[in-house]
Amino acid sequence: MLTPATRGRRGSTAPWTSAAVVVAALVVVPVALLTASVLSPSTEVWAQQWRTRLPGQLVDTAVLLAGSVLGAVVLGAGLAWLVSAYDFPGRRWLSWMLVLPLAMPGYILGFLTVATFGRTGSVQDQWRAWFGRDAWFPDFESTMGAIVTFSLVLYPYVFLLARAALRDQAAGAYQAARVLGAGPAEAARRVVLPMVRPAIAAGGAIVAMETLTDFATVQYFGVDTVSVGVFRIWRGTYDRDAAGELATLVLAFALLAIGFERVARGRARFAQSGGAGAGFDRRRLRGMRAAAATAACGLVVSVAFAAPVAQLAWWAIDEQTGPRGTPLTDEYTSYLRHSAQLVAICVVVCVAVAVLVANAQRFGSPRLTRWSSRAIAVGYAVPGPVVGIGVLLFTVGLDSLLERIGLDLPGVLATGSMVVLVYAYVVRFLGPGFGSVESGMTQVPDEVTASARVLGAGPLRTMWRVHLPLARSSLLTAAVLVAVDALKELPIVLLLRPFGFDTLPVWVYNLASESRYRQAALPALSIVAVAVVPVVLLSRRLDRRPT
Amino acid sequence: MTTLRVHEVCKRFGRTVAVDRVSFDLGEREVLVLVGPSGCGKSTVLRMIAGLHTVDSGEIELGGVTVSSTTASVPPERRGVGLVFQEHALFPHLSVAANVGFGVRRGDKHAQVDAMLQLVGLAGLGGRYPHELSGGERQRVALARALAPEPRLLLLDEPFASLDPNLRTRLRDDVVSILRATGTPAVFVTHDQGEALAVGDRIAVMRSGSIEQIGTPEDVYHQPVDHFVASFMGEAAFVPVKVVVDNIEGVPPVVGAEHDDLLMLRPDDVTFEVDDAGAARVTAAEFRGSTWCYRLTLPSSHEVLSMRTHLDRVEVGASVNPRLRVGHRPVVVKPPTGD
Repeated sequence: MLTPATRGRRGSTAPWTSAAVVVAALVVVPVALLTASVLSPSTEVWAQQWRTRLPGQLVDTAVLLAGSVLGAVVLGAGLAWLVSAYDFPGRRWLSWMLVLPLAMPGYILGFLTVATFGRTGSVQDQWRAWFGRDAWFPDFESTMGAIVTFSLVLYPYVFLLARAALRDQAAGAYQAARVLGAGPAEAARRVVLPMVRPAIAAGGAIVAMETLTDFATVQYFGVDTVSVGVFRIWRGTYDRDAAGELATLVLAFALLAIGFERVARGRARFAQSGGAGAGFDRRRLRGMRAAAATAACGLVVSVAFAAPVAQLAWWAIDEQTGPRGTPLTDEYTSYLRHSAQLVAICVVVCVAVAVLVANAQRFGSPRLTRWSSRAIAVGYAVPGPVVGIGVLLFTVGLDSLLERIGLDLPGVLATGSMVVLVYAYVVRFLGPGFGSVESGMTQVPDEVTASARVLGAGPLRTMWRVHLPLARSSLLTAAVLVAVDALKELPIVLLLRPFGFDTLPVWVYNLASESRYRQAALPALSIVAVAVVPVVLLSRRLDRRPT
Repeated sequence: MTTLRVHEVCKRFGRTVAVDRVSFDLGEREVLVLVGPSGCGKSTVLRMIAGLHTVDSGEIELGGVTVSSTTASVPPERRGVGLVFQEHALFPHLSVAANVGFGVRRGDKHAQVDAMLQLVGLAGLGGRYPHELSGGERQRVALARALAPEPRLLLLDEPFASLDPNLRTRLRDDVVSILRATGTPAVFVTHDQGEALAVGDRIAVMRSGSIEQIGTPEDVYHQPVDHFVASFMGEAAFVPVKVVVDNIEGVPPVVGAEHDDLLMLRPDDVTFEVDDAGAARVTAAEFRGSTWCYRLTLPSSHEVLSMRTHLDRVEVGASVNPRLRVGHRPVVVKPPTGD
């Protein structure tokens, strides 16, 4: 029976349960507070917004969302089908490399796209040199450019989920359909697609969330989404109530995306994907078709990852060693230090909190801790601006409350302090860290916990001597996941950073916004280099073929 | 003095009642077996004794001190009981010696670990890791680990269910003799009635959260209180009293039986003589090594089982006269209801 191993009214449950509940509350309250602010709308703000930018922002957001999700789904699902059902030269390698764009943040690929294909970019220069000054060229500094960028960096979410679903579930059903007399196309349409649809829908929902979170990349392209609106209002006027109200619109879009996912998923649920599936008996492609398949995968990998990395590397080297370059400054080390500090604090806090809550599931009241662990995922499932503004509203409220009862802590909770920034990061990134620690804890059977308790070890000693050593590798995974997410994060730090506190992503964004692309290359490359690590680790784990 | 007293204990999970007013005592040096089909609540009782579940009502006392009640629960680490699981639940990151020494807080840990490994017959294997051991060895380590802190009571939750039958019997005998040698009282949970009969000083038969009968192995086997206990604790035929009286010789008078009451006939209760004029027929024969078990069909088409030594071979189809062996008080039970 999967009831938590230990309960007792006297003794040790209460502290564990309350710790888990407090953590969950700290994660949920900012989002809840933001949602609640809709209940008392300030008509003035809305009227003003509605007269000015809001209608355009709504349209841009909707178009951007629809385009990015569509692009990512077509790319991700199509490529997943290609590498799962067919065999062609280089398939194994390409299948692995197609995941790499996960390591390419949108705000980096975005400025590279603008720098290369934009109005002053090298491609358009060349184009005009060939075809004359007024030759038509697609305008990449538009919603279309943003959609292309988001599709290229976000399709791997769909690709990974669809590929796993194809391998673990659909392969057997596909073979059964073939044996029952369906041709390949019919089997794909009637059996495979319906089975993979939930995975595609889940991937699409992630793409939608990531698109909504962003308000940096879209600005390169001159796209004005609701998220950009939140950022503008907050950074421009520091009117947190107005920013908060606009952020609820972002939340509404997010809920809409989740709603679509539920509908698309239908009544299907993910089956156990233990990697026990037999896999497809891949059809071998020959001649032109094989070349086309290899070229298609290769093109996506190069456009979304290889070429951008090469360009960054070239610029970075040229800037450091070339005659016209500005070599590495002290700024770089200072921003690197800021990033490292922020990441280190976030990793320590997230992993510690995750360990606390995961252990509370063993030692605390089962019902409350189960609720708490579910609530923790909220932060990751909500777009960054929502988390950022929510944390802001909460800490400001807390601050004035403390002031009123005479507990004045000057500066600690003030807007733009490190505490607020770290708090927002933890709310946002606790989800993946906790997921990893929790899955590590499932490796520790209930009976092992019970044995330790019965042998006289209290909860703390059991955690220290039994749970942590056994869940060690999952703690490491959690730390890596949180570290990379925190290092890449741009929207929250743009919203909440203390004055003068610039991280690597902020630096990249500032330089890119001023079209100083070559100088942005080195910090951008540093971020990609670090972000590749977990992508390689994770994809290797997901890739382990059943034999 | 009683080591353990379980009094009117109840436990529910959500809407299901897992344990319903269970009571029993455990004497010094006594081994009590809780036996019943899976899901009858026996493991839950064990976990409540260990402090891994609270009780919803009722009380549990260990050595005269209340450890579980509606208002309070001593945490498991302060109860001083040992617990052995079916899946061993060894700590995979610790060596055998470190596993066994985990709960030892007083005295010379090394000496105690060595003594325990000696006791379970694993002397010299202290440096190994759990994954380097066989299933039987792991179970011995689990036993040594549970006994090392010298618990006042040992709880065993289906400890041999994951082992193959031969190993199981051998290990069971070892465990029983270790319990006797150390004088440790124990509560032993199993769903295997044969194991229950072999291990227990007393047996408590559980069904749907309650104890149906508690008594010595002979009691629960030969004098079951109802149809469930009778059929769960061993093979038996249940035949209406009137049919038995009419067709089987040597039945003592059955007093107070009602019309539809059944008589329990274990295979060793029934014998027969081959007689061409006999009304019953042998319809099947099953070889069981030292015995043959025959199925006899009465003229009423009711069936009974009869056990004979392998020396007495009777062909299927033979006509026979069944007879009740003297010595047992006949057991009359009500027909089963519902389940």
